[in-house]
Amino acid sequence: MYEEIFIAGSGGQGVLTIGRLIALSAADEDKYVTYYPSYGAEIRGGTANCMVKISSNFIYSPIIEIPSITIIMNMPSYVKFINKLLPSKFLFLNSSLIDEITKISDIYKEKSLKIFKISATDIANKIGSSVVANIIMLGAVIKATKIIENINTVKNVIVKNFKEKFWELNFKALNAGMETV
Amino acid sequence: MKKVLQGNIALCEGAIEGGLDAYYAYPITPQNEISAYFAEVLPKLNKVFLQAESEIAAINMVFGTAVTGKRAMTSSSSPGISLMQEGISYLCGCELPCLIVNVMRGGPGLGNISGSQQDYFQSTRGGGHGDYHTIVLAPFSVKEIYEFAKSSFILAEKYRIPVLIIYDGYLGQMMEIFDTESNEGKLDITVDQPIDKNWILDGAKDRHSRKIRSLLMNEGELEKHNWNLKEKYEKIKKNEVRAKFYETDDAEICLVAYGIAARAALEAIYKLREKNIKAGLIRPQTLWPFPYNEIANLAKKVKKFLVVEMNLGQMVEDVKLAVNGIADVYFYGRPGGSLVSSKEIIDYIVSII
Repeated sequence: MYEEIFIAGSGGQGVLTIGRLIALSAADEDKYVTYYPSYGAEIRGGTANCMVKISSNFIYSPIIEIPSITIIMNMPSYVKFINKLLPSKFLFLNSSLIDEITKISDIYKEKSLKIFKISATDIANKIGSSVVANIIMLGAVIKATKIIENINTVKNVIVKNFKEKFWELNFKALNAGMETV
Repeated sequence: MKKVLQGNIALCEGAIEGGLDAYYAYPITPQNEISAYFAEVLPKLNKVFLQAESEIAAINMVFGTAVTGKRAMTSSSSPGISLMQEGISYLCGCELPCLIVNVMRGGPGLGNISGSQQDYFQSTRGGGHGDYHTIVLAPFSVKEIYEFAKSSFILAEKYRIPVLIIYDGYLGQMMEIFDTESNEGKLDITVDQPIDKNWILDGAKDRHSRKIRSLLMNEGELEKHNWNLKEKYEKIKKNEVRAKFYETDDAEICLVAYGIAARAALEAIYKLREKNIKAGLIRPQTLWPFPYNEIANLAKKVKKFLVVEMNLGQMVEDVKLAVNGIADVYFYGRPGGSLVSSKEIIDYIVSII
Protein backbone atom coordinates (compact mmCIF):
# COMPACT_ATOMS: atom_id res chain seq x y z
CA MET A 1 0.00 0.00 0.00
CA TYR A 2 1.20 3.48 -0.81
CA GLU A 3 -0.96 6.61 -0.67
CA GLU A 4 -0.02 10.25 -0.84
CA ILE A 5 -2.73 12.52 0.48
CA PHE A 6 -2.80 16.28 0.04
CA ILE A 7 -5.32 18.27 2.08
CA ALA A 8 -5.97 21.99 1.66
CA GLY A 9 -8.46 24.50 2.97
CA SER A 10 -8.61 27.66 4.99
CA GLY A 11 -6.91 28.14 8.33
CA GLY A 12 -9.51 27.22 10.93
CA GLN A 13 -11.31 24.63 8.80
CA GLY A 14 -9.45 21.80 10.46
CA VAL A 15 -7.51 20.59 7.43
CA LEU A 16 -4.47 19.85 9.60
CA THR A 17 -6.77 17.87 11.88
CA ILE A 18 -7.92 15.71 8.95
CA GLY A 19 -4.27 15.00 8.16
CA ARG A 20 -3.34 14.20 11.74
CA LEU A 21 -6.34 11.89 12.19
CA ILE A 22 -5.50 10.00 9.00
CA ALA A 23 -1.83 9.72 10.03
CA LEU A 24 -2.58 8.57 13.58
CA SER A 25 -5.22 6.10 12.38
CA ALA A 26 -2.95 4.60 9.72
CA ALA A 27 -0.21 4.25 12.33
CA ASP A 28 -2.66 2.41 14.58
CA GLU A 29 -3.27 0.04 11.66
CA ASP A 30 0.49 -0.65 11.61
CA LYS A 31 1.37 1.39 8.55
CA TYR A 32 4.34 3.66 8.11
CA VAL A 33 3.15 7.26 8.10
CA THR A 34 4.51 10.75 7.68
CA TYR A 35 2.59 13.98 8.16
CA TYR A 36 3.87 17.38 7.11
CA PRO A 37 1.91 20.57 7.79
CA SER A 38 2.34 23.67 5.65
CA TYR A 39 4.11 26.16 7.77
CA GLY A 40 3.64 29.51 6.15
CA ALA A 41 2.48 32.60 7.94
CA GLU A 42 -1.00 31.07 8.00
CA ILE A 43 -3.90 33.04 9.39
CA ARG A 44 -7.55 32.25 9.92
CA GLY A 45 -9.05 32.65 6.47
CA GLY A 46 -5.76 32.10 4.65
CA THR A 47 -4.92 28.79 3.04
CA ALA A 48 -3.52 25.94 5.12
CA ASN A 49 -2.47 22.54 3.88
CA CYS A 50 -0.83 19.32 4.93
CA MET A 51 0.65 16.25 3.33
CA VAL A 52 0.18 12.71 4.61
CA LYS A 53 1.85 9.59 3.31
CA ILE A 54 0.79 6.08 4.25
CA SER A 55 2.80 3.04 3.21
CA SER A 56 3.56 -0.59 4.01
CA ASN A 57 7.24 0.36 3.80
CA PHE A 58 9.56 3.10 5.05
CA ILE A 59 8.62 6.51 3.63
CA TYR A 60 11.53 8.58 2.36
CA SER A 61 10.33 12.13 1.79
CA PRO A 62 7.33 13.63 3.60
CA ILE A 63 6.74 15.97 0.66
CA ILE A 64 4.26 15.06 -2.08
CA GLU A 65 4.85 15.79 -5.74
CA ILE A 66 1.86 13.98 -7.25
CA PRO A 67 -0.80 13.04 -4.71
CA SER A 68 -2.95 9.95 -5.10
CA ILE A 69 -5.71 11.66 -3.11
CA THR A 70 -6.42 15.39 -2.91
CA ILE A 71 -8.94 16.93 -0.53
CA ILE A 72 -9.88 20.58 -1.00
CA MET A 73 -12.09 22.36 1.50
CA ASN A 74 -12.51 25.90 0.11
CA MET A 75 -12.41 28.02 -3.03
CA PRO A 76 -9.06 29.85 -2.53
CA SER A 77 -7.30 26.49 -2.05
CA TYR A 78 -9.09 25.08 -5.09
CA VAL A 79 -7.80 27.93 -7.23
CA LYS A 80 -4.30 27.67 -5.77
CA PHE A 81 -3.82 23.90 -5.93
CA ILE A 82 -6.12 22.28 -8.48
CA ASN A 83 -3.61 22.35 -11.31
CA LYS A 84 -0.47 21.99 -9.20
CA LEU A 85 -1.61 19.04 -7.13
CA LEU A 86 -4.16 17.20 -9.23
CA PRO A 87 -4.35 13.69 -7.80
CA SER A 88 -3.93 10.43 -9.68
CA LYS A 89 -6.84 8.58 -8.06
CA PHE A 90 -9.33 10.53 -5.94
CA LEU A 91 -10.34 14.18 -5.74
CA PHE A 92 -12.61 15.35 -2.91
CA LEU A 93 -14.13 18.81 -3.05
CA ASN A 94 -16.17 20.59 -0.43
CA SER A 95 -18.97 21.58 -2.81
CA SER A 96 -20.55 23.83 -0.16
CA LEU A 97 -17.71 26.30 -0.63
CA ILE A 98 -16.32 25.56 -4.08
CA ASP A 99 -18.07 26.82 -7.22
CA GLU A 100 -17.04 26.00 -10.76
CA ILE A 101 -16.73 22.35 -9.91
CA THR A 102 -19.08 21.41 -12.68
CA LYS A 103 -16.24 22.30 -15.02
CA ILE A 104 -13.69 20.06 -13.42
CA SER A 105 -15.37 16.84 -14.53
CA ASP A 106 -15.08 18.05 -18.12
CA ILE A 107 -11.48 19.15 -17.85
CA TYR A 108 -10.24 15.97 -16.30
CA LYS A 109 -12.68 13.44 -17.75
CA GLU A 110 -9.92 11.77 -19.74
CA LYS A 111 -8.11 10.88 -16.54
CA SER A 112 -9.13 7.88 -14.48
CA LEU A 113 -9.79 10.23 -11.63
CA LYS A 114 -12.72 9.71 -9.30
CA ILE A 115 -14.22 13.04 -8.25
CA PHE A 116 -16.38 13.33 -5.15
CA LYS A 117 -18.30 16.51 -4.48
CA ILE A 118 -19.24 16.50 -0.82
CA SER A 119 -21.29 19.37 0.59
CA ALA A 120 -19.39 19.04 3.85
CA THR A 121 -20.10 22.50 5.29
CA ASP A 122 -23.84 22.26 4.60
CA ILE A 123 -24.09 18.81 6.16
CA ALA A 124 -22.04 20.02 9.13
CA ASN A 125 -24.42 22.92 9.69
CA LYS A 126 -27.35 20.49 9.55
CA ILE A 127 -25.93 18.20 12.23
CA GLY A 128 -25.08 21.06 14.51
CA SER A 129 -21.81 22.86 13.77
CA SER A 130 -19.86 23.98 10.72
CA VAL A 131 -16.60 23.14 12.55
CA VAL A 132 -17.07 19.42 11.85
CA ALA A 133 -17.11 19.88 8.06
CA ASN A 134 -13.58 18.45 8.12
CA ILE A 135 -14.73 15.29 9.91
CA ILE A 136 -17.60 14.85 7.43
CA MET A 137 -15.06 15.05 4.63
CA LEU A 138 -12.85 12.56 6.49
CA GLY A 139 -15.77 10.11 6.71
CA ALA A 140 -16.37 10.39 2.97
CA VAL A 141 -12.67 9.96 2.17
CA ILE A 142 -12.28 6.85 4.31
CA LYS A 143 -15.43 5.25 2.91
CA ALA A 144 -14.45 5.94 -0.72
CA THR A 145 -10.71 5.25 -0.59
CA LYS A 146 -10.42 2.70 2.26
CA ILE A 147 -7.10 4.26 3.30
CA ILE A 148 -8.14 3.33 6.82
CA GLU A 149 -9.42 -0.24 6.94
CA ASN A 150 -11.61 0.02 10.02
CA ILE A 151 -13.61 3.14 10.89
CA ASN A 152 -13.31 2.21 14.59
CA THR A 153 -9.60 2.95 14.33
CA VAL A 154 -10.49 6.57 13.56
CA LYS A 155 -13.03 6.65 16.37
CA ASN A 156 -10.41 5.42 18.83
CA VAL A 157 -8.00 8.10 17.65
CA ILE A 158 -10.73 10.72 18.20
CA VAL A 159 -11.31 9.38 21.71
CA LYS A 160 -7.58 9.52 22.47
CA ASN A 161 -7.04 13.02 21.08
CA PHE A 162 -10.30 14.98 21.56
CA LYS A 163 -12.05 16.09 24.73
CA GLU A 164 -14.91 13.81 25.71
CA LYS A 165 -17.59 16.46 25.13
CA PHE A 166 -16.68 16.50 21.42
CA TRP A 167 -16.76 12.74 20.81
CA GLU A 168 -20.45 12.39 20.03
CA LEU A 169 -20.56 15.27 17.52
CA ASN A 170 -17.47 13.98 15.74
CA PHE A 171 -18.80 10.41 15.54
CA LYS A 172 -22.03 11.81 14.10
CA ALA A 173 -20.06 13.82 11.55
CA LEU A 174 -17.92 10.82 10.62
CA ASN A 175 -21.03 8.69 10.01
CA ALA A 176 -22.75 11.47 8.05
CA GLY A 177 -19.67 11.77 5.86
CA MET A 178 -19.57 8.04 5.19
CA GLU A 179 -23.22 8.11 4.14
CA THR A 180 -22.46 10.62 1.37
CA VAL A 181 -20.43 8.08 -0.58
CA MET B 1 6.48 1.45 22.28
CA LYS B 2 5.18 2.78 18.97
CA LYS B 3 4.69 6.53 18.76
CA VAL B 4 3.65 9.02 16.12
CA LEU B 5 5.42 12.26 16.98
CA GLN B 6 6.53 15.47 15.40
CA GLY B 7 10.34 15.72 15.15
CA ASN B 8 10.46 18.64 17.57
CA ILE B 9 8.41 16.76 20.16
CA ALA B 10 10.51 13.60 19.76
CA LEU B 11 13.52 15.79 20.56
CA CYS B 12 11.88 16.88 23.82
CA GLU B 13 10.98 13.35 24.83
CA GLY B 14 14.50 12.15 24.00
CA ALA B 15 16.12 14.95 26.02
CA ILE B 16 13.92 14.20 29.04
CA GLU B 17 14.80 10.48 28.77
CA GLY B 18 18.43 11.56 28.58
CA GLY B 19 18.20 13.31 31.94
CA LEU B 20 17.55 16.94 31.04
CA ASP B 21 17.50 19.21 34.11
CA ALA B 22 16.96 22.66 32.63
CA TYR B 23 15.83 24.23 29.36
CA TYR B 24 16.27 27.87 28.36
CA ALA B 25 15.25 29.40 25.04
CA TYR B 26 13.82 32.32 23.13
CA PRO B 27 11.04 31.65 20.57
CA ILE B 28 11.66 31.26 16.86
CA THR B 29 9.97 29.31 14.06
CA PRO B 30 10.26 26.42 13.09
CA GLN B 31 11.18 25.09 16.53
CA ASN B 32 8.55 26.67 18.82
CA GLU B 33 6.93 23.31 19.54
CA ILE B 34 10.02 22.48 21.62
CA SER B 35 9.52 25.45 23.96
CA ALA B 36 5.76 24.92 24.08
CA TYR B 37 6.18 21.27 25.05
CA PHE B 38 8.82 21.93 27.70
CA ALA B 39 6.83 24.84 29.16
CA GLU B 40 4.03 22.40 29.87
CA VAL B 41 5.98 19.31 30.83
CA LEU B 42 9.19 20.35 32.64
CA PRO B 43 7.55 22.12 35.63
CA LYS B 44 5.49 18.97 36.27
CA LEU B 45 8.72 16.97 36.39
CA ASN B 46 10.30 19.50 38.81
CA LYS B 47 12.75 20.53 36.11
CA VAL B 48 13.56 24.06 35.03
CA PHE B 49 11.83 25.77 32.11
CA LEU B 50 12.68 29.39 31.49
CA GLN B 51 11.86 31.54 28.49
CA ALA B 52 14.85 33.84 28.26
CA GLU B 53 14.70 37.48 27.19
CA SER B 54 16.98 36.71 24.22
CA GLU B 55 19.05 33.96 22.65
CA ILE B 56 22.17 35.50 24.18
CA ALA B 57 20.60 35.25 27.61
CA ALA B 58 19.46 31.66 26.92
CA ILE B 59 22.91 30.34 25.99
CA ASN B 60 24.46 32.04 29.04
CA MET B 61 21.81 30.46 31.26
CA VAL B 62 22.87 27.11 29.79
CA PHE B 63 26.44 28.06 30.76
CA GLY B 64 25.35 28.90 34.29
CA THR B 65 23.61 25.56 34.72
CA ALA B 66 26.35 23.54 33.03
CA VAL B 67 29.02 24.73 35.51
CA THR B 68 27.01 23.09 38.28
CA GLY B 69 27.13 19.73 36.49
CA LYS B 70 23.40 19.75 35.73
CA ARG B 71 22.14 18.84 32.28
CA ALA B 72 21.10 21.98 30.43
CA MET B 73 19.95 22.62 26.90
CA THR B 74 18.70 25.32 24.58
CA SER B 75 17.10 25.22 21.16
CA SER B 76 16.70 27.77 18.43
CA SER B 77 16.72 28.17 14.68
CA SER B 78 19.46 29.58 12.46
CA PRO B 79 19.32 33.36 13.22
CA GLY B 80 18.98 32.61 16.93
CA ILE B 81 21.93 30.20 16.84
CA SER B 82 24.02 32.96 15.25
CA LEU B 83 23.28 35.13 18.28
CA MET B 84 24.45 32.33 20.59
CA GLN B 85 27.90 31.92 19.05
CA GLU B 86 29.76 33.96 21.65
CA GLY B 87 28.26 31.84 24.41
CA ILE B 88 29.09 28.61 22.56
CA SER B 89 32.72 29.73 22.26
CA TYR B 90 32.82 30.34 26.04
CA LEU B 91 31.20 26.95 26.72
CA CYS B 92 33.90 25.29 24.61
CA GLY B 93 36.69 27.32 26.20
CA CYS B 94 35.43 26.28 29.63
CA GLU B 95 34.79 22.70 28.48
CA LEU B 96 31.17 22.60 29.61
CA PRO B 97 28.83 19.81 28.51
CA CYS B 98 25.38 20.83 27.28
CA LEU B 99 22.97 20.31 24.40
CA ILE B 100 22.27 22.96 21.75
CA VAL B 101 19.65 22.28 19.09
CA ASN B 102 19.45 24.11 15.77
CA VAL B 103 16.29 23.48 13.74
CA MET B 104 17.68 25.06 10.60
CA ARG B 105 15.70 27.52 8.48
CA GLY B 106 16.63 29.34 5.30
CA GLY B 107 19.10 32.22 5.38
CA PRO B 108 21.10 34.41 5.23
CA GLY B 109 19.52 37.01 7.48
CA LEU B 110 15.96 36.22 8.48
CA GLY B 111 15.64 34.19 5.24
CA ASN B 112 12.40 32.26 5.56
CA ILE B 113 10.83 29.80 7.99
CA SER B 114 11.11 26.71 5.80
CA GLY B 115 13.74 24.03 6.32
CA SER B 116 17.32 24.30 5.09
CA GLN B 117 20.81 22.90 5.69
CA GLN B 118 22.61 26.19 5.39
CA ASP B 119 24.31 26.13 8.79
CA TYR B 120 26.76 23.29 8.08
CA PHE B 121 29.82 25.55 8.06
CA GLN B 122 28.69 27.41 11.15
CA SER B 123 28.06 24.14 13.00
CA THR B 124 31.15 22.18 11.99
CA ARG B 125 33.74 24.98 12.04
CA GLY B 126 32.98 26.11 15.55
CA GLY B 127 30.85 29.09 14.63
CA GLY B 128 32.21 31.53 17.18
CA HIS B 129 35.73 32.80 17.80
CA GLY B 130 38.75 30.70 18.73
CA ASP B 131 39.99 27.21 17.87
CA TYR B 132 37.19 24.93 18.91
CA HIS B 133 34.71 22.29 17.88
CA THR B 134 31.40 21.05 19.15
CA ILE B 135 30.19 17.53 18.43
CA VAL B 136 27.57 17.88 15.69
CA LEU B 137 24.86 15.25 15.32
CA ALA B 138 22.62 15.18 12.24
CA PRO B 139 19.54 12.97 12.58
CA PHE B 140 17.57 12.00 9.46
CA SER B 141 14.36 10.68 11.01
CA VAL B 142 12.09 11.40 13.95
CA LYS B 143 13.46 8.25 15.58
CA GLU B 144 17.05 9.50 15.24
CA ILE B 145 16.10 12.90 16.65
CA TYR B 146 14.73 11.04 19.68
CA GLU B 147 17.76 8.77 20.06
CA PHE B 148 20.39 11.47 19.50
CA ALA B 149 18.71 13.76 22.02
CA LYS B 150 18.56 10.90 24.50
CA SER B 151 22.31 10.17 24.19
CA SER B 152 23.52 13.75 23.87
CA PHE B 153 24.16 14.48 27.54
CA ILE B 154 26.26 11.33 28.04
CA LEU B 155 28.26 12.20 24.94
CA ALA B 156 28.67 15.81 26.09
CA GLU B 157 29.78 14.79 29.58
CA LYS B 158 32.14 12.11 28.31
CA TYR B 159 34.25 14.80 26.63
CA ARG B 160 33.10 17.90 28.52
CA ILE B 161 31.95 19.48 25.29
CA PRO B 162 28.73 21.02 23.94
CA VAL B 163 26.79 18.70 21.64
CA LEU B 164 24.95 20.34 18.78
CA ILE B 165 22.01 18.54 17.18
CA ILE B 166 21.12 20.09 13.85
CA TYR B 167 18.20 19.22 11.62
CA ASP B 168 16.14 21.12 9.08
CA GLY B 169 12.69 22.56 9.67
CA TYR B 170 11.15 19.73 7.63
CA LEU B 171 12.27 17.07 10.10
CA GLY B 172 11.24 19.34 12.95
CA GLN B 173 7.73 19.83 11.63
CA MET B 174 6.96 16.39 10.23
CA MET B 175 5.26 13.65 12.19
CA GLU B 176 6.43 10.09 11.75
CA ILE B 177 5.81 6.70 13.31
CA PHE B 178 8.65 5.10 15.24
CA ASP B 179 9.33 2.49 17.88
CA THR B 180 11.06 3.82 21.00
CA GLU B 181 12.35 0.32 21.81
CA SER B 182 13.95 -0.56 18.47
CA ASN B 183 17.72 -0.32 18.06
CA GLU B 184 17.42 1.80 14.95
CA GLY B 185 19.20 5.12 15.32
CA LYS B 186 20.61 4.32 18.77
CA LEU B 187 24.03 5.84 19.49
CA ASP B 188 26.20 3.39 21.37
CA ILE B 189 28.46 5.51 23.51
CA THR B 190 31.02 3.81 25.70
CA VAL B 191 31.72 5.70 28.90
CA ASP B 192 33.71 5.04 32.05
CA GLN B 193 31.25 4.99 34.89
CA PRO B 194 30.82 7.09 36.81
CA ILE B 195 31.54 10.02 34.49
CA ASP B 196 34.16 12.32 36.06
CA LYS B 197 32.43 15.28 37.64
CA ASN B 198 35.38 16.48 39.70
CA TRP B 199 35.25 19.82 37.97
CA ILE B 200 31.74 21.04 38.76
CA LEU B 201 31.04 24.05 40.94
CA ASP B 202 28.82 22.81 43.74
CA GLY B 203 30.25 24.64 46.73
CA ALA B 204 33.83 24.06 47.99
CA LYS B 205 32.86 22.59 51.35
CA ASP B 206 35.53 20.06 52.44
CA ARG B 207 37.46 20.36 49.22
CA HIS B 208 39.78 22.75 47.40
CA SER B 209 38.11 25.51 45.44
CA ARG B 210 37.73 25.12 41.67
CA LYS B 211 37.69 27.62 38.88
CA ILE B 212 35.95 27.46 35.52
CA ARG B 213 37.16 30.16 33.16
CA SER B 214 38.25 30.79 29.61
CA LEU B 215 40.50 33.78 30.35
CA LEU B 216 44.01 32.29 30.58
CA MET B 217 46.52 35.13 30.86
CA ASN B 218 49.56 33.47 32.40
CA GLU B 219 52.63 32.77 30.28
CA GLY B 220 51.97 29.72 28.09
CA GLU B 221 48.70 28.92 29.86
CA LEU B 222 46.36 29.44 26.90
CA GLU B 223 48.56 27.56 24.46
CA LYS B 224 48.69 24.60 26.84
CA HIS B 225 44.92 24.75 27.20
CA ASN B 226 44.47 24.72 23.43
CA TRP B 227 46.85 21.76 23.05
CA ASN B 228 44.74 19.95 25.63
CA LEU B 229 41.62 20.79 23.66
CA LYS B 230 43.34 19.49 20.54
CA GLU B 231 44.07 16.20 22.28
CA LYS B 232 40.41 15.93 23.24
CA TYR B 233 39.26 16.68 19.68
CA GLU B 234 41.58 13.96 18.35
CA LYS B 235 40.08 11.50 20.81
CA ILE B 236 36.58 12.44 19.64
CA LYS B 237 37.62 12.05 15.99
CA LYS B 238 38.96 8.58 16.79
CA ASN B 239 35.96 7.37 18.80
CA GLU B 240 32.81 9.12 17.74
CA VAL B 241 32.60 9.28 13.94
CA ARG B 242 29.33 7.76 12.85
CA ALA B 243 27.99 7.22 9.35
CA LYS B 244 25.54 4.87 7.66
CA PHE B 245 26.33 3.13 4.39
CA TYR B 246 23.69 2.07 1.90
CA GLU B 247 24.50 -0.05 -1.18
CA THR B 248 28.07 1.24 -1.27
CA ASP B 249 29.79 -2.14 -1.85
CA ASP B 250 29.36 -2.20 -5.62
CA ALA B 251 28.47 1.47 -6.18
CA GLU B 252 29.67 3.25 -9.30
CA ILE B 253 28.42 6.55 -7.98
CA CYS B 254 28.22 7.30 -4.29
CA LEU B 255 25.93 9.98 -2.88
CA VAL B 256 26.76 11.80 0.33
CA ALA B 257 23.91 13.45 2.19
CA TYR B 258 22.63 14.02 5.73
CA GLY B 259 19.34 14.94 7.37
CA ILE B 260 16.21 15.21 5.23
CA ALA B 261 18.32 15.42 2.03
CA ALA B 262 19.58 11.91 2.82
CA ARG B 263 16.02 10.60 2.70
CA ALA B 264 15.59 11.91 -0.85
CA ALA B 265 19.05 10.53 -1.70
CA LEU B 266 18.13 7.12 -0.28
CA GLU B 267 14.96 7.00 -2.35
CA ALA B 268 17.01 8.03 -5.38
CA ILE B 269 19.60 5.25 -5.03
CA TYR B 270 16.97 2.52 -4.80
CA LYS B 271 15.11 3.92 -7.82
CA LEU B 272 18.40 4.16 -9.75
CA ARG B 273 19.17 0.53 -8.95
CA GLU B 274 15.85 -0.42 -10.56
CA LYS B 275 17.28 1.23 -13.70
CA ASN B 276 20.53 -0.75 -13.28
CA ILE B 277 22.50 2.30 -12.20
CA LYS B 278 24.64 1.22 -9.28
CA ALA B 279 24.28 4.08 -6.83
CA GLY B 280 25.11 4.08 -3.14
CA LEU B 281 24.83 6.50 -0.24
CA ILE B 282 26.97 7.50 2.71
CA ARG B 283 25.00 9.29 5.36
CA PRO B 284 27.09 11.03 8.04
CA GLN B 285 25.28 10.99 11.38
CA THR B 286 28.09 13.03 12.91
CA LEU B 287 29.02 16.10 10.85
CA TRP B 288 31.83 16.82 13.28
CA PRO B 289 33.73 14.58 13.61
CA PHE B 290 33.28 13.98 9.87
CA PRO B 291 33.74 10.51 8.30
CA TYR B 292 36.84 11.51 6.28
CA ASN B 293 38.49 8.08 6.50
CA GLU B 294 35.34 6.20 5.54
CA ILE B 295 34.87 8.36 2.45
CA ALA B 296 38.60 8.20 1.60
CA ASN B 297 38.44 4.40 1.68
CA LEU B 298 35.45 4.34 -0.62
CA ALA B 299 37.17 6.76 -3.01
CA LYS B 300 39.73 4.01 -3.70
CA LYS B 301 37.05 2.14 -5.66
CA VAL B 302 34.18 4.58 -6.32
CA LYS B 303 35.07 7.04 -9.07
CA LYS B 304 32.20 9.49 -8.72
CA PHE B 305 30.72 11.16 -5.64
CA LEU B 306 27.64 13.34 -5.58
CA VAL B 307 26.99 15.51 -2.54
CA VAL B 308 23.35 16.52 -2.05
CA GLU B 309 22.60 19.35 0.35
CA MET B 310 19.94 21.97 0.90
CA ASN B 311 22.45 24.80 0.56
CA LEU B 312 24.94 26.17 -1.99
CA GLY B 313 27.59 23.56 -1.22
CA GLN B 314 29.09 23.27 2.24
CA MET B 315 29.62 19.61 3.20
CA VAL B 316 30.89 19.11 -0.36
CA GLU B 317 34.14 20.76 0.80
CA ASP B 318 34.64 18.08 3.46
CA VAL B 319 33.90 15.36 0.91
CA LYS B 320 36.52 16.89 -1.41
CA LEU B 321 39.02 16.90 1.47
CA ALA B 322 38.27 13.23 2.10
CA VAL B 323 38.40 12.20 -1.56
CA ASN B 324 41.63 14.19 -1.99
CA GLY B 325 41.47 14.39 -5.75
CA ILE B 326 41.33 10.66 -6.51
CA ALA B 327 37.64 10.69 -7.57
CA ASP B 328 35.28 13.23 -9.11
CA VAL B 329 33.07 15.12 -6.67
CA TYR B 330 29.79 16.62 -7.93
CA PHE B 331 27.30 18.76 -6.08
CA TYR B 332 23.53 19.16 -6.24
CA GLY B 333 21.88 21.68 -3.94
CA ARG B 334 18.70 23.60 -3.21
CA PRO B 335 19.47 26.76 -1.23
CA GLY B 336 16.12 28.46 -0.83
CA GLY B 337 14.39 26.48 1.87
CA SER B 338 12.88 24.00 -0.60
CA LEU B 339 13.13 20.29 -0.08
CA VAL B 340 15.25 18.42 -2.60
CA SER B 341 13.35 15.58 -4.33
CA SER B 342 14.53 12.14 -5.40
CA LYS B 343 13.48 12.92 -8.97
CA GLU B 344 15.80 15.93 -9.16
CA ILE B 345 18.66 13.82 -7.83
CA ILE B 346 17.98 11.02 -10.32
CA ASP B 347 17.80 13.46 -13.23
CA TYR B 348 21.08 15.03 -12.17
CA ILE B 349 22.83 11.66 -11.80
CA VAL B 350 21.62 10.53 -15.21
CA SER B 351 23.15 13.74 -16.61
CA ILE B 352 26.61 13.10 -15.14
CA ILE B 353 27.15 9.36 -15.68
